[in-house]
Amino acid sequence: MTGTFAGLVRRYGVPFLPWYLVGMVAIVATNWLSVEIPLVVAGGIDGLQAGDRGAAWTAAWEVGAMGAFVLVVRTASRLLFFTPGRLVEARVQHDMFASLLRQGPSFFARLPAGDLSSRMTSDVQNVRLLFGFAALGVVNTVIAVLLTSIQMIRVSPVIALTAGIPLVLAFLGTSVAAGRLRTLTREVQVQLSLLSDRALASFQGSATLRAFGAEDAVAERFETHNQDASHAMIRRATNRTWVGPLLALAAGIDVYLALRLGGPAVVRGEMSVGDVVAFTSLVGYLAGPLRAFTFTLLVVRMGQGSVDRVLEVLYAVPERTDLPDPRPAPVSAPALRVRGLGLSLGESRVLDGIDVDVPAGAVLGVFGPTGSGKTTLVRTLLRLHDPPEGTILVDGVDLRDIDLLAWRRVATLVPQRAFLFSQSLLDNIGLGDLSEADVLALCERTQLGPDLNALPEGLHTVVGEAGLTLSGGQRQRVALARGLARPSVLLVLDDVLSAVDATTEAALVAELSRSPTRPTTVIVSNRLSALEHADVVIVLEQGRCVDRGTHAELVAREGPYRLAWLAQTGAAA
Amino acid sequence: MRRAFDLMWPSVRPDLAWYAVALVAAPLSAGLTVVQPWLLRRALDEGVDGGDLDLLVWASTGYLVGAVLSFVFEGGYNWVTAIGASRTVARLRSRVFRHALSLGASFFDREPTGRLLSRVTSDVDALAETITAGAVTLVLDLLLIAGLAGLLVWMDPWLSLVLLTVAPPLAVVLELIRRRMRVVFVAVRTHLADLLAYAAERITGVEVVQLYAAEEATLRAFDQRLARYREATVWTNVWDALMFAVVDATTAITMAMMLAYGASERFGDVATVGLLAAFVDGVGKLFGPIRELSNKVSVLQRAAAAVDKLGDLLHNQERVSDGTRDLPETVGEVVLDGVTFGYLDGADVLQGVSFAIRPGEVVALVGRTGSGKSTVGKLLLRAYGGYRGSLKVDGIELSDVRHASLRRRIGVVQQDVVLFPDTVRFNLAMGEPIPDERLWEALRRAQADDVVRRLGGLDARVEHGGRNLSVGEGQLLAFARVLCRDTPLVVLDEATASVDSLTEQRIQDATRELLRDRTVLVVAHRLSTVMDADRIVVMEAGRVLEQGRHDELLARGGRYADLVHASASLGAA
Repeated sequence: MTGTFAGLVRRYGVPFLPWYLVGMVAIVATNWLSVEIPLVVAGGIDGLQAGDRGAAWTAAWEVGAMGAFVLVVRTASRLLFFTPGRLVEARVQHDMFASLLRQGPSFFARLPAGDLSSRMTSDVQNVRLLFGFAALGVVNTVIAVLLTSIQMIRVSPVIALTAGIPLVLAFLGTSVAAGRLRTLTREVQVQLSLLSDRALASFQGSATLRAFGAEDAVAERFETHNQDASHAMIRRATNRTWVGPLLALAAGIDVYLALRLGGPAVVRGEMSVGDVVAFTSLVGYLAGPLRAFTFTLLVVRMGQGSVDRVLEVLYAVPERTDLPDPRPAPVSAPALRVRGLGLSLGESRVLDGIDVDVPAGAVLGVFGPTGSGKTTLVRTLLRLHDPPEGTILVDGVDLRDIDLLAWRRVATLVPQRAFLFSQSLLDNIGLGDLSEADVLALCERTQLGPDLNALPEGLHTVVGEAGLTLSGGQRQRVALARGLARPSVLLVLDDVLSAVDATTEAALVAELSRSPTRPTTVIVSNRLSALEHADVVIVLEQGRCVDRGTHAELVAREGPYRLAWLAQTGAAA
Repeated sequence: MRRAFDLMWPSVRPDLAWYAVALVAAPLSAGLTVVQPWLLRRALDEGVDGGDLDLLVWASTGYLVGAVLSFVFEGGYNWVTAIGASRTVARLRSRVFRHALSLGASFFDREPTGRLLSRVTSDVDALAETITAGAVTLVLDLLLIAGLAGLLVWMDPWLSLVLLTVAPPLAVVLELIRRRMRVVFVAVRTHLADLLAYAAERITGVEVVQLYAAEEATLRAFDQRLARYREATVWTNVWDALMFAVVDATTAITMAMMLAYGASERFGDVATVGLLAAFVDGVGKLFGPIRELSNKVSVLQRAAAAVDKLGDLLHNQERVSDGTRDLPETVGEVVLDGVTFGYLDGADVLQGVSFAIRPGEVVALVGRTGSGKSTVGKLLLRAYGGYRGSLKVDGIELSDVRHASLRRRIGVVQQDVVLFPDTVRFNLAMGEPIPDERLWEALRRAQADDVVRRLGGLDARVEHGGRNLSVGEGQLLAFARVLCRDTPLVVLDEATASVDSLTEQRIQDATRELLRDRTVLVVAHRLSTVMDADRIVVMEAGRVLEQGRHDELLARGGRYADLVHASASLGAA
């Protein structure tokens, strides 16, 4: 399906067609009643004029019955149009979220989380308004204007046409101003979000501000932005307050016209008094849908931008396209073979011609400065980036041919920047699958024990955004525990061992290599003690492998590895 | 109420002129709305029906003038109210922001920044809404209701009585619906916030979801929340539709009752066509304000909650009390003697800490997480007060020193570097008028001049949280921040985040530059820094274990020697 508005309507709107059709019937009924009631009232009044009380009674009963009927059809018309809007909203949100979960890093680099959140809420809500409010608004206005005009023309074509002029002018003015209101509203939103960004940064950095005595300087800068926001709000208010009552003014002018033109006509016997009364009510009635229509226009215009922003997420193509008939993931530690692996991210060549063999259950060490491609290399092993065909073989099978989800279930990467969800530590580590005792044991292995004792509720402490903030080291230890929590055939540790001290690190590395089901392991580290027991270490520089060997061999050779070793041990000696 | 007044008054007072104009415009606008039905009645009864064309001209022109003036006064009223509100709110926002920043570290420890942010944004906005949509228009609405009801009673007391029988049931029904709506709206907001929080966090942590192949489980959990949200929104539609329908139906039923009144034998001769038309007009105008009334009550309730929260914040005076004495020009010496300290709700984290920093000396604090070493630095910066024992700077007890004086003499590099969404210049000078040459000089000494040149100079923007800088670059800027103000005493809380070796080298060089010719307290994580220190103070569990030079302590074979042997970098210490 294509990513166009028409596509969106086909996918989400068409299933609700029956709702809309029945809703239209209800709208026609509602409007017919709204127009008919004043006429019946006018008839009753004319009856009274003529001394026919019976006619007035009949009219009274009719109007009362119509009022009851209004209750039903009005409720129905709104429900039948608004409910699909709400249901569409939820379906779009579901589909967007499902699409997001399939996207790769470059997608999230382009669209940051904050932006995606607002696409999933305010933009989807604008789309919802298109499917509910706007749909109702257009249908309702068209029907209301048609019915009212017919009635007004029936009463008096001359007055109807004259009275139409102020209404049309006011409607045009309101529509133009509504367009401008959109720009002004966006301006206010931009100013307010700048303001809250600034406030948030100041609160987060309050310790620094205090230490440098910079509270006043920051407050003054805040005030400047605050003023800008205030002025934007006043500009918007100016537009709003003078445009809103325009249609009411036009309706007032129309009453005047009806009286001035209709009065003499009654005297001349061309119209009844009831006609004039009906006319004044019809005019008042028409102003309502017209005013609503200007809002509909606004919603449609705002919706256009939102539709594009929603479509971009909804129809985003996942970076990895999986084969229809994937190969199963390995069940025991696999041998890895990397052959001429090269990778470009955006413009830059991040990996270039990497060759390395890791036998089943062996430990590969990766060393190199920031930006040398270490992290990209290990992320490619988990297919967070897709390797070119035939460059990574797992037990001789191209990684790209292996069932991605199955591979991710048996291969574990502990990333350098640990992410914690707003839930208890227990759930963050066990991801809901492990018992408390198991998680506690893991915490001991990863030196989280002392951290746990310092937390108010131990393992049940809620961390992350909504909870306690952990230090960088603590976060990494949690991520390490999470990574060790499940059995893996491939374990990749991306520079996380620096979060534990050297003794624990050595114990962990030894434990991994002793384990009967020992996984094939990749350890990225700049602390060389972690690489001492690796079966082979590769040294990366600018995406290329510049040296390789065991720890002992590399230390014995001139090169960046030996230099780092001297720096790290020479100091302590 | 009294508290709310005290709270709002200083912010409202400067805008009284605007509100005064609004208060004048409101009754004029209400008066005109009231006069219009009366004019319509005269025009129809005596003008059209009675054939008095002069009166028709007079009354209809009056109606027209009334409509125009009503437009002017109503628009003007809304306009000045909106202007006053934006100004008042901007002032209140600045005041709340300034006050929050003036509070102490213990306040920020307790209060999540997100909650503080909502004080300066949504709570203040709720007050703005109250002013524009609630408090002042409430006056207008009450005036309108009283005026219109008075007019109707004056024109025909019996007919008014008949209509009044409609009002109480209508009010009851509307209020019931509104109560249900309030409940449902709270549910919608809660469920949406829940949905959003979940989605935003899973998007930020999408790699964890993908790496653990948890897409399906995640989507299921999302759908559960989505279902709750969708159900609540559908209910809002039901109540919203009913509300509209009830008002519409009531209008029709009211008309039916008037017709019946006119038709009945008893009152028949009193009712005239014009009277009925005037009643239709008047009753229509009466329903609007009645419908709004209870809406406004809920706006006021929301505002009351906001005022309460703002009041709590503005009355909070939680800060470290200021001293009265100034430090001498050059700070030479820091002496701690039996310093004991605990955070607000915890055990003592420092227990009788004693050591001294002589003029020009570099003292490194070493110890594991939780040993209390960072706390010493925070006390020296007066982030927290309430220590016991004695902490003297140049012979003056720290609690007697004026904050401003202390801040001029102490520079600080914090463990987690905080960068503000502002220019590089502001991030370095922190609002002080420091000449560019000195800033560049400091950047050179901190080896960060090329970083700033790459960004585009001193006026380039640093993004929120320093997103356009690497962690290491941010640290270098923090060094420059201290170097450009040349404070004689420096507290350096070293960062633990791992950086690549090139940046590491730069940081070590910048650290040496910072330590030169200054009295420095280092909360140390780098072995290289520790080795350069004149003295090392080893802490554990809030006490000083041992102190001395690197080689002395190493030779002693105590805790320090353990730490050094355990780790090549002290990175985890």
